[in-house]
Amino acid sequence: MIEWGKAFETFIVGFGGVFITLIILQTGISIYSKIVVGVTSMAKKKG
Amino acid sequence: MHITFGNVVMWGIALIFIVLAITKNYEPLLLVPIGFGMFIVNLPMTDLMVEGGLLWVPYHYAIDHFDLIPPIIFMGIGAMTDFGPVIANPKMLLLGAGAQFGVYVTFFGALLFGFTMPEAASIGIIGGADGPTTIFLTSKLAPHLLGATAVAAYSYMAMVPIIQPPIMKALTSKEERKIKMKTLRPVSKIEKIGFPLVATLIICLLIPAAAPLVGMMMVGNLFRESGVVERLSGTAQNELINIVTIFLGLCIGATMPAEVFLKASSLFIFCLGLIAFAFSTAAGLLLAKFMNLFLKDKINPLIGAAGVSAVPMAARVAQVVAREEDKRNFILMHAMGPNVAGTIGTVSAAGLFLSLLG
Repeated sequence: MIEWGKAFETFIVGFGGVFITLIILQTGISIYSKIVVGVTSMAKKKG
Repeated sequence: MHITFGNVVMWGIALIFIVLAITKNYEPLLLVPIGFGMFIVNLPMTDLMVEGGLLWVPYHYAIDHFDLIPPIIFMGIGAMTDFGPVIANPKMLLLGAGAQFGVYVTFFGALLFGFTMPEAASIGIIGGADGPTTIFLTSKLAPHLLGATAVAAYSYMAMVPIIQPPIMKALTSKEERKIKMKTLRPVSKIEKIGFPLVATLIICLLIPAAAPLVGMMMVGNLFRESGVVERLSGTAQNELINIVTIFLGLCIGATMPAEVFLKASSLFIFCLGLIAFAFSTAAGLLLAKFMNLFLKDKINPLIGAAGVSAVPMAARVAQVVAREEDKRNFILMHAMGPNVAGTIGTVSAAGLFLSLLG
């Protein structure tokens, strides 16, 4: 007997969770890169 | 004890693995030890996998009970991986997520075939085309399927150049395959050093169950990028990964005595694994095409197929298919983005399965 409720929960939380995790990671990396590139270019201008 | 017909069949399968590894170079690092482990465990009275036996000890303590080997392999993978393409173009992470679709399609397929939910998750994860993650998840959720799922995962990883191109060509037009992508921006050393810390922070906070694999992969990558621990980086990507690969291969092979492996369920697992892999490839491609509807700088949809892990084979296949249309089109570095993102995606999927079903 397949527990369809639990199966769909696993699909939605699982596949959705992978997407959300990687979207947050994408945002995190973008912000981190912007900070690093910004600070580096400021340091170059000053130096 | 006597030799059964099943044992002889397993010798034949073991021989096929070893021959394919040697003659066709199909994942030889794994298929040679797996083939030999399979062969020796099907010899009568060897007692290698009884409690206290030579292969039982590493299997029990380093795979089945404490799950030590897959994270160590991930440390080596991290030490070998350049995350530069993902840092330069973080949108590629989405393709790594999209390519996990096959994992969930197969999860449902396995349920319909009568597998339990933890078994279905272990079979579905084959679609991520990531051997260590498949072993990690299966040993926790369905250890009795370990041999079949591991062999299916590594077999399909080896067959990426055969399985993926027809799907890639069927789902893309010639014009799409000819799309040239802008050169990636250079990534600074500071960005590369910080990446493993940022990635570990975000993924482990969201999916704590993925910490063993993500944490080890990222520490390996930190060894590589820091530039000050070359000995540790070298050990992680050479000696250490080679040693654990020997034991992993032999032990996985040794989990396949005839009476365990020669069942209809093993055949189903192989069929479902292929479906998982095909759906993951297709989903990555289609997501790339979908993203092109909104992007100013179009991406070559072939790189979406590299969202299945299988690093770096899937990225190389994308490059080969692209060059069949235009010899001057170089998408390899672009394809490496979704390729390494696929590894992160598969680990995340495994962590979520563990959280929900473990």
